[in-house]
Amino acid sequence: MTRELCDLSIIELRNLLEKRKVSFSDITNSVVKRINEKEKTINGYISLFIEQAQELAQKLDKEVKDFNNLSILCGIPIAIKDNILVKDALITCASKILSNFIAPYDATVIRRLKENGAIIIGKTNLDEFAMGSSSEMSFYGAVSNPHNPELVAGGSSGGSAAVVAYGGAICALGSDTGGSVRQPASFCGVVGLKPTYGRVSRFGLVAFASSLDQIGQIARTVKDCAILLSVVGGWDSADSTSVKLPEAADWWIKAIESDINDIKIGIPKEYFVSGLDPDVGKAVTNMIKAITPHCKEVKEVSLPHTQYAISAYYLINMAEASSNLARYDAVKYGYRAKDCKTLRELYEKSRGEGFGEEVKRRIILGAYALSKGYYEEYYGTAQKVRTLIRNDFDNVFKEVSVLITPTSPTCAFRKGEKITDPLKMYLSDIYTVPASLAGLPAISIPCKDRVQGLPVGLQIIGKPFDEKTVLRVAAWLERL
Amino acid sequence: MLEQKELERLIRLTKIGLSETELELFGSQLAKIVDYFQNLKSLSLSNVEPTSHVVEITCPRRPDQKNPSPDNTLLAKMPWVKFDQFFVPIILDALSEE
Amino acid sequence: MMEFEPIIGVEVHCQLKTESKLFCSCPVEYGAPPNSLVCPVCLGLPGVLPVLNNRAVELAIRLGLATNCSITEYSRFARKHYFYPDLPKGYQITQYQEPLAHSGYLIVNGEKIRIKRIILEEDSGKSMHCGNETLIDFNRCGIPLIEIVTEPDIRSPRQAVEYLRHLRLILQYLEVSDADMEKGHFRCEPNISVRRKGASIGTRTELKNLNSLRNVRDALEYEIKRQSEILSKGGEVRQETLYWDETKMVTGPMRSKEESEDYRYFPEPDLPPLLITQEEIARIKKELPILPEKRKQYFIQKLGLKPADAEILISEKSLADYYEECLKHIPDMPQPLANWIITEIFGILNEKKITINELGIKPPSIAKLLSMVRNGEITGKVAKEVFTVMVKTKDEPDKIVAELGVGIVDDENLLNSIVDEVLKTNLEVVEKYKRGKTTVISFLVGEVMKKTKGKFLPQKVNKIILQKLQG
Repeated sequence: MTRELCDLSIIELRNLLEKRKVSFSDITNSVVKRINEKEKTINGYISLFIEQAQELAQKLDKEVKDFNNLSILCGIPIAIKDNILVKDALITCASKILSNFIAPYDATVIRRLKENGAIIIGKTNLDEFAMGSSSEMSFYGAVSNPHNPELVAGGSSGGSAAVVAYGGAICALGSDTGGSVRQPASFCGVVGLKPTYGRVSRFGLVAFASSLDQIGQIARTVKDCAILLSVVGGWDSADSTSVKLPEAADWWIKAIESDINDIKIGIPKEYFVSGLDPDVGKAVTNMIKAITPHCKEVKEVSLPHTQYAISAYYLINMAEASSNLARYDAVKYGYRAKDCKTLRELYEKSRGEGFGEEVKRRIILGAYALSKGYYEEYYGTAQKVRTLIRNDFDNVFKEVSVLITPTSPTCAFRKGEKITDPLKMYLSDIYTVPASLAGLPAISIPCKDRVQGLPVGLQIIGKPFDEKTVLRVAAWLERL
Repeated sequence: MLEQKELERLIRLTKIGLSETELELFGSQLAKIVDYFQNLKSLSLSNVEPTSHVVEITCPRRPDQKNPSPDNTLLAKMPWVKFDQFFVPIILDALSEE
Repeated sequence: MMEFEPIIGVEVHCQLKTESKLFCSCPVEYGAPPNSLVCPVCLGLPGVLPVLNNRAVELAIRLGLATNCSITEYSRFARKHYFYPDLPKGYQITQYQEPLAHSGYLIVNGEKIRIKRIILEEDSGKSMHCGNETLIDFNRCGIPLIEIVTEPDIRSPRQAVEYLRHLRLILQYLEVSDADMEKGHFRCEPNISVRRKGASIGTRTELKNLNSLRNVRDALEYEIKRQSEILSKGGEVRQETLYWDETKMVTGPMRSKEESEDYRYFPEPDLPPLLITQEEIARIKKELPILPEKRKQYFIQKLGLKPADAEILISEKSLADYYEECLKHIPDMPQPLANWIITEIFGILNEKKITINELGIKPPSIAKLLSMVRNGEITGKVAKEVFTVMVKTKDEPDKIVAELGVGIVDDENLLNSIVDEVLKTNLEVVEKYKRGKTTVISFLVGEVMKKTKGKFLPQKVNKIILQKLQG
């Protein structure tokens, strides 16, 4: 298959730009052309800014004379998950309750992208309020997998992963709370990075589960993800949970190109038990076999509390979601139901009609987990289990630097297969959720093998703030 | 075990209006999920501290300064504003909720 | 009713004196146009996050220290959930299990009232009825509040009011809050139960919507009566929240919102634990403004003021500050200055319902006025007249004295001639004096004063007359 401009990586495009082989408009127009071809089937976008993007590209063509000191992201079309605020654009979170809300400010990550000249091409589709693992729970319809439109793109950042996969953007930002960047990346065959909690500002990310949410990077190569991270990441005074780190600005370059002789890799045995599709397991194991001679050590490790991660994760995310979504009360903005005679009606009808099923389920259960009399049993317990899961990771990281696991127990599944059984959907998050609970950096990269033509994701989990090592290993595996 | 009465209380608490069908559907779905969560009960947690924050930092503070350049266009962007005030089409009795 | 003893605790919510709000940098101002002091953060728009105001923390620590509390090293913020239009996020950021300060006390009239906890939290917006709708102004939303909760150590409505007065004064002196009840800075919510002496603590009710100390007293007195009546008839007091009807002078139940009592508190995930180090506490302790009691002692012991006068001067921090500011210019006149402020100024302030700063007369001007009396430039009586003009025109005293021509003249010739005149026209009185009735001299002095319109000091007039009578 010939690769067009819209299929290239950030680095490749930059090379072509510097050599004057292509213009900024060429790149944007290539992306636009692909969108026109594929978007109808995939439904990856909720909003598109084609005109603005083309105008911006033309402006860059006119004004840019010299590529020295020009950000590597300049002129690169990027897609943004529609739960990250882009000023003056709709921010729907794929929900009826925000279907008319226009963002009055830019998220910090968006401000940084704009400062670097990136071209925001549109807002991508997602599971409503980022709650889901398939991108089927959207007010704007499901996202289709570019490899097979009858399959899901994964979730909740399905739109972002799908558009990067089909060429409707060069790269994208998503959000990852329990796997929402890694899993769709694995289903769509692209790279998805969830940074350490605290590395990327959450200001302007519509909160779902505040202690778990992170803005993740989706691209075609590990290097591209690293570029994105280096631009959008870093301490923000507007986010009290963001961390100041003493790193050089170009640390990612050094990270990607090195070898991995000094690295010890752990394979957690709990991730390779029944429930894992055997072909998926084989694809991942083949990668592990390939890397073994080239690193310091590969050994089996144990994360004994893995089986409790789903319960802990869902209790915590539901509780925090029920709290974060209390502000959608039809008083200041958003959807307001008609003919409400009392305040109670205004609330109940607007929220009942404005929220989708899954969101309502989680709000109700989340309130239950925090309720007087149930708090200790549910939310309180989940927070303690979270400590145990963190401790599991702390222990293995005394012996190894990174862990390799499958990203998901299966490849992309059929649309409609799991949405009638919420618990079934939750259980499919088993491999991504623990790293989220522990706040660790984790990336999903495509395996060399596919299963019946479908991509398989391999996950690498690292120590807190050690994205460097995670990216080193990921880049090495990518070069296989 | 999530009982019907508890479900109804939660619905009132979270101000979410559910239809009869939704109520019935949610009843069984939520009960199943809560049952799954019981697997945490097998753990011994008496000596475990809860994790509220995964980042080990303390609360940063900002200096007590007024914003030098406030955004005055905010109010104009909000949908339900009269006389520069947000409004709800309901009379709120200071002593009651409805 | 005497057989029933009231058990009272008080919860106070007080707005802190900061420039900006607790979690965003919107200004804290009064009387601004509605919704002009708002931003995405305090409006609770999607995607926003709170950032803590340092000064709010410092002011809370100040109060904690002044009330002998333990300051918690790692305190936490929590979310308190309920639905109401003036609460934009659907939850309030407050503190729940780990308060900023705890286990302190205040001594009020010799009685110890224990402070259970002091916490920081954000205020909500204001709603107002208008026709068929309710309007909401979010200017107030996010203003820092400090919540001060006592143990149920108070035993009478009078003691409750005294505690509140004392607390208000401390808040003012610490510059933690202006604590103006009328402006809504200082909201009191007492809780009360009654019991027979020796019995266990009864069910308590909470009182809200009390906007003056008098209402606090009246409402508590009413509740004592109401609860005592119920108990003496063998009934049970219901635990409920009550409002006070000022006109009918009764309490009534606020609509009980059973659901909203489940606030679903949990630790605020957007704010890591707040660390307060020993160093910070020590620094704040060192810089702590002087408390009212200490100030009073200073006035009595170092300045030699009468205790009753000192008590009045410290009753408002602005008054005490003003007094000391004036004193800087006339350090030799502490008592006369105190007298002046208490007799001349205090009355005017109460009459016009203003503070001394709102009177508009600067301390140097008062000091000048009094120094003119001390230096013999005007009499005390004239000074009072001059002051009345100063209140109206805000002019400087020496300017007024010159304009009115009431300055004491040091013209001996003029005085001599007027004394001569008076002696000539009052020969019988002079005779009386010469025959030994020396007290009549005051009549003669009076006559001279009348003729000279008080331009001369009485002592001087007296001296000249004596000279002439004896000489």
